[in-house]
Amino acid sequence: MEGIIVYIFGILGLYSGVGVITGKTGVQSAINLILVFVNMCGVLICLGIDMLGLLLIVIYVGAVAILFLFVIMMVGEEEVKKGGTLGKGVLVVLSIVLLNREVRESNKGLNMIMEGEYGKVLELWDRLDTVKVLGENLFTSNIYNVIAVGVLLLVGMIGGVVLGKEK
Amino acid sequence: MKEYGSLLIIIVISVLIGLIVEVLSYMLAKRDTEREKLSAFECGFDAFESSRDKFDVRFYLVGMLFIIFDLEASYLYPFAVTIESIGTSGIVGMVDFILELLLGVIYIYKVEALE
Repeated sequence: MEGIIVYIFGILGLYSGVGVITGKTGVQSAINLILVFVNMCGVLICLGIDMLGLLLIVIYVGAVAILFLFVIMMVGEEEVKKGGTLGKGVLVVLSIVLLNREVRESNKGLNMIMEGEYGKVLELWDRLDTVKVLGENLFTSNIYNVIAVGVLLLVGMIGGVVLGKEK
Repeated sequence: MKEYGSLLIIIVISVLIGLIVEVLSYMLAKRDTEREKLSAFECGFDAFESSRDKFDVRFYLVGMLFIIFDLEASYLYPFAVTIESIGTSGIVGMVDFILELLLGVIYIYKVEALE
């Protein structure tokens, strides 16, 4: 059941990914990008990585995609240059070919995992609480990285205010 | 991931409702196509300018600050779940993390960036 849902979300995500490339206006492309993020969240949740999937929604859809829309609307519709038909076609064909190869490779890896003794690991993986694992790794051995992230966010905040403040 | 089954049901039902409304209105409604129907209508005039306004850069600033606090909140979820097992160093580090962002909030209020 989960495998089928993964494929449904994956195909929808691929379809909207092509839509990002072929969208007529920048706004269409940005909305397709939001769809890609939502579908990938579905894929991640089906694979059992629910925390990362939901963070994808919270951060990318809630903030980054909205910023993309802001940028497109700030720059203005006319100035967003899109490639010609030939460029689009090449991009679509290239991405389908690459994705086909990726899917085959990852299927191989998945079969290896399922046949070997890694099956037990996968069973364990199903009962894993990803939020807990993430927190225990983040706040014990990697606590200095968390503090560094805090400094980075502070720098980003001050930099944005300095650049964007009305003079 | 059995907890997400009900979520899946909601997604399927919402997609179905959307499809039903679209398809029914496409199939049942009487359609007379006319060029004037598709043109923009603005008090009887043609549209003066593009309907997509240019934003002030300050909206972008608000969006960026939102991203930063969004990221901070996403660090708080795992912290809240594992607060019992991470020990003193983890809690002190997280307090430092929050204090750094509090510094940013104080700075924003000092320079009145959101006025």
